[in-house]
Amino acid sequence: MVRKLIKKDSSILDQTTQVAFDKCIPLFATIETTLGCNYSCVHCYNFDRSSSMPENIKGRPLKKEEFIRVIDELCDAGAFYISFTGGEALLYPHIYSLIERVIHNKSMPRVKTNGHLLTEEVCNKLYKAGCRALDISIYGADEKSYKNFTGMADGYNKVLEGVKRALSFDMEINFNIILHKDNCMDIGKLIKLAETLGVPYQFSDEVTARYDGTESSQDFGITPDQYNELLKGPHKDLFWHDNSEESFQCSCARNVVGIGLDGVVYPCIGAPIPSGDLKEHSFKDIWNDSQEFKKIRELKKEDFSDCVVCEFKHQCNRSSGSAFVNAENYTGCDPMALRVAQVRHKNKDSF
Amino acid sequence: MLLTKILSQREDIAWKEIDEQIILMDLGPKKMVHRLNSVGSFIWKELNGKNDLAAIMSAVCAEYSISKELAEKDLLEFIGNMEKLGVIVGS
Ligand code: SF4
Ligand code: SF4
Repeated sequence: MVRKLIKKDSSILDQTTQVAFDKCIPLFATIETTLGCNYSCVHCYNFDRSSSMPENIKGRPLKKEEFIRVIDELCDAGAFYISFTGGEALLYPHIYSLIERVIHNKSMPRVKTNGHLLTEEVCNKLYKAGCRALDISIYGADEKSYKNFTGMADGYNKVLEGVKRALSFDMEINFNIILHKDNCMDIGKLIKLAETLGVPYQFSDEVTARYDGTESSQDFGITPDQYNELLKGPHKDLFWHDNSEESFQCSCARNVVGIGLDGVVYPCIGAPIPSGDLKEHSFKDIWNDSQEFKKIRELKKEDFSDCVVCEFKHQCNRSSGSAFVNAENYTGCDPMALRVAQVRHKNKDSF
Repeated sequence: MLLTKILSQREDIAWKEIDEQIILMDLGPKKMVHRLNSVGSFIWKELNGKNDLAAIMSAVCAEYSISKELAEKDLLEFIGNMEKLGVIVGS
């Protein structure tokens, strides 16, 4: 009976993710550690970084000891991948203690960073704390586009140096390439950059409204004309999306959870629906009893009533979080997703 | 292999029990992922640097109501696999 005690195949993680989804285990947790950032990206969803941080989004940040307790509780509930985000997570002074705590719990820490601060000293501290994985956001393929987008003059070179340094520390790096209207036509250069460094990459072309209620971030999204061009270009497959299985819901509150800087729990860090407060309740109680989570978990296909009858549904990759941020309707139509789905629909015969 | 051996999980192995099966992630240069079934998961948790293999074998017999011979054979096979993967240490 004790045969095949160990299985090894490439789909282990996919299967585990599915089990966690079916059984509502928060396998992937994201913790916001700070809203401060050394960049001032024009599209940043936190708040409009051309002005100072609004009081209403600051809240009272969790103290280091509170974060540690939250990490323990998340790991107890099944969190295996714990990602630290910001703002710029590396600006949080106790980030190394939090990473150590994740390792202490035998889970996997990841840090989401813009990569600018990856000095020798920081890489060394990350490595010593146990961090072996970084998700680095890439904003452009040259200094000029970096400066225009992030406001940082020497961003591109600094990030590249940081990436190379982190690679020399044997860190697993993943690029999250942020595509916007000013860099999307550089896609070939961006891919070459990742491939030259041997770093796996994914694209994000989603630019949402900000959590402070401002919407000017969306002015920087890829335009429909640009999308149309990309769908005809050499990398067209990267922009195609086939949703013929009509899936409208994501992993929110099932195998994914987000923890805000102030201890507020969200179904996903990209879906800012307050669902409990860790200053008042344990994570377990919130995860099991939150009314918001229960509602999300009970959603059925027909609850996405706009989507079910939508002409563009088979080309749409909506995210409920974005629909909530952009249109204040978690199950409704996301106007940004609609714009893209319409262009894909027009080009569908080429795929 | 001697049953007096005391083995433990390598420090930098991340693992989590999900639905009675343990997922192991080797955070070393190999960055490999493995999944143990429920019996393998039981043994893995016993590899704490305190129990020797004889104690673990008795625990397996008791937990799964199997003979000593079968438990020993399977335990040693499992330990051999774990050693090959380099995820346990000790002597
Ligand atoms: S690096 Fe990230 S957190 Fe910082 S301004 Fe840019 S988008 Fe916002
Ligand atoms: S375009 Fe809007 S309504 Fe249509 S499937 Fe996408 S989100 Fe739903």
